Amino acid sequence: MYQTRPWQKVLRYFTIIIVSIMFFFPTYWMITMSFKPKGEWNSAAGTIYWVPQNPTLDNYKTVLTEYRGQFFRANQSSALPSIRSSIVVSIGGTLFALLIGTLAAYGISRHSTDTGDLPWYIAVGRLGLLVLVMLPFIVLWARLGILATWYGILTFTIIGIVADQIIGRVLGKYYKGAVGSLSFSILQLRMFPPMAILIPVMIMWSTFRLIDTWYGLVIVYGVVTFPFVVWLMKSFFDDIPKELDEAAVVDGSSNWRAFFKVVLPLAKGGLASTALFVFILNWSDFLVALLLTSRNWGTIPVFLNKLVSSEIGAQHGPKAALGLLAVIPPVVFGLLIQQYLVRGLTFGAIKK
Amino acid sequence: MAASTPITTKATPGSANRRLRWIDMNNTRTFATTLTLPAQLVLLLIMIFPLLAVVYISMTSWSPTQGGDWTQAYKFWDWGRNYVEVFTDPFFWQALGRTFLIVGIAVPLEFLLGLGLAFLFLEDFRGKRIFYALMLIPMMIVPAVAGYMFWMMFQSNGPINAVISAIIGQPFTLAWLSSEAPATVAVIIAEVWQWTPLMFLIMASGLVGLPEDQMRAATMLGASGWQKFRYLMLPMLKPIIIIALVIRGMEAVKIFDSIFLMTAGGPARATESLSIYMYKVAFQQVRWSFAAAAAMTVLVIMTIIASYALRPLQAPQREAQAAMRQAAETGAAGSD
Repeated sequence: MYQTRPWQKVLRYFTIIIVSIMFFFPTYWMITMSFKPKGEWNSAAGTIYWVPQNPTLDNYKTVLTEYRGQFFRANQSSALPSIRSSIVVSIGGTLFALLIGTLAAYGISRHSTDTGDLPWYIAVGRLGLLVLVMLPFIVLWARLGILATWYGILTFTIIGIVADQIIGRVLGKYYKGAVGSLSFSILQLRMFPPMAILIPVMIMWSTFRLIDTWYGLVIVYGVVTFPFVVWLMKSFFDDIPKELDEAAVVDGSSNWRAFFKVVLPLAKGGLASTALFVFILNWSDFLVALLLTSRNWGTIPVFLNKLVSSEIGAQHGPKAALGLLAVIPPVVFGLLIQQYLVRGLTFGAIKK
Repeated sequence: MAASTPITTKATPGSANRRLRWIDMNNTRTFATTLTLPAQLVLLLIMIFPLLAVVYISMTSWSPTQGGDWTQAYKFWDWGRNYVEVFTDPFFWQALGRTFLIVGIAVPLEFLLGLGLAFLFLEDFRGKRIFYALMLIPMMIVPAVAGYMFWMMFQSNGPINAVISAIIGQPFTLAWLSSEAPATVAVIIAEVWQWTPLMFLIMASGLVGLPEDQMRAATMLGASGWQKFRYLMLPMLKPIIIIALVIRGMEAVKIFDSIFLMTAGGPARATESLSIYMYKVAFQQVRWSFAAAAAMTVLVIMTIIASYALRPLQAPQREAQAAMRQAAETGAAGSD
């Protein structure tokens, strides 16, 4: 559909090759680094080794086996536990996010007049009122000494939810627009700097003994990525004609059946690409895992950050090797669902 | 859940519940509530306590080093002093400005590169699949690893300087990561490298999705390439462009991993983004109450930005609803 002249073709090839080289170079550097022996990591002597002179698999061995010699201090273990925990928490977090996110997206898509339109002064004002109401409670709870117990947190949260609902109603009496919006809150959650949520989550998690457990991490991953699921899945559900599930319901199937048997199979592709995105988000997280794990469930990025030995400094080679190994799961996942990807990537903005 | 409840039935007045006003009544109430309930609960459970805990800590001068549990923080109560400190802390505002500077340069750059690449990849050519795959690799690489790779490559005797030396023909030994402006450039390059592929993918799938017959018609009518782009493709791509920019912008303001590993916010504070700033305050200076106040301030700022930034995303939905309402009204007026 687009005609091109020969010189344009040449120019295009030229540009594509240049750009590809530029974009591939860091990856290339990583790949070669993972095969370089220790002496070639640094270019301190002024020579840069563009290609490993003496390719070796030592870096992979270092990462994958319990290595107690040259590189690590005696008690360092291999990267295998961190690979295991990365896989467990990423999949767990993705499933959790998909579960609550897909349901919410369907609910918002089908049953809601919520436009997500919320003026900031209402959002901030509501929060401010909640803080004003709840601050005495939190101080009281602290003085009673029950703030850091599970029942203290539970009762406090329940009071908070009730207070929030009351504030919403009172505000609704005086303000004509929407005073609360689920889809706004969900998207807002995605915009917060992680540090803003992580400090209190650390406190809460240590109370509930969730620090350094896989389920603790799964919950946090699910919560921080489910907005993404809601957002993407809503656009896919919006594309499926409402009449389909309505017809199913009229024909006597239950709402849940209509959702699982009619709507969800149609949104299969969207679900697959959403799952990939969420998986990549969880898989590449560093900060959350850094703060919420210690010994047992540190993920790959956390382990990478620790790959420094006091004797010879940063472990360039093993780091590159592990980084390269970490590329495999998302790539495999991506290849598995390749056929759905392109459609999923337009975020539902372009209708076929 | 009554299986055969006709979906058009109005809910019985007795069950009217003002709390659930955001639920449209064209389906069983309980079903609609159940669908969003997990999300609501998770939001409330994860938001209410942590949020109020942050506010509580921010109103005191407590920090872990001061001894005592955080629950004992009320003993160090000092009202809003932390907030005053945040507002008068130049480093906070610098970090905020720096974050927006990095986002403001990196995201448009990612977008332009992605769009340009998408055009280059529009037509079939030999080796397209291979180049396509090559372009997508950065997306799959864990940002922490990427940050680390860039840290190595930007060393003064690293490969990037070697390439530049080869091009300009004389030794080039800029210590990228330990001088201010180059460090920022390096951080932006890493960010652009990591996320251009996503932009490219989105734009490429957007371009593929454009109606082909309209393009052909425009070509037959003698439209130039630029005209086709400006008056046909750009307007049709607009929604997807907005979505891509907003999504990337939202994610980019949280930038942490790559900076943390490349420069840790340095040299001095030259690349200190908001996330890095808060990390330093909380975990290096161990001023938790101050960090909590900064977190609350950022939260309010982000809420304000979110309410504007998200508007373009909701525009199509609002239009659709307006159209539906109008259709319903005219339909109601037309029948009987």
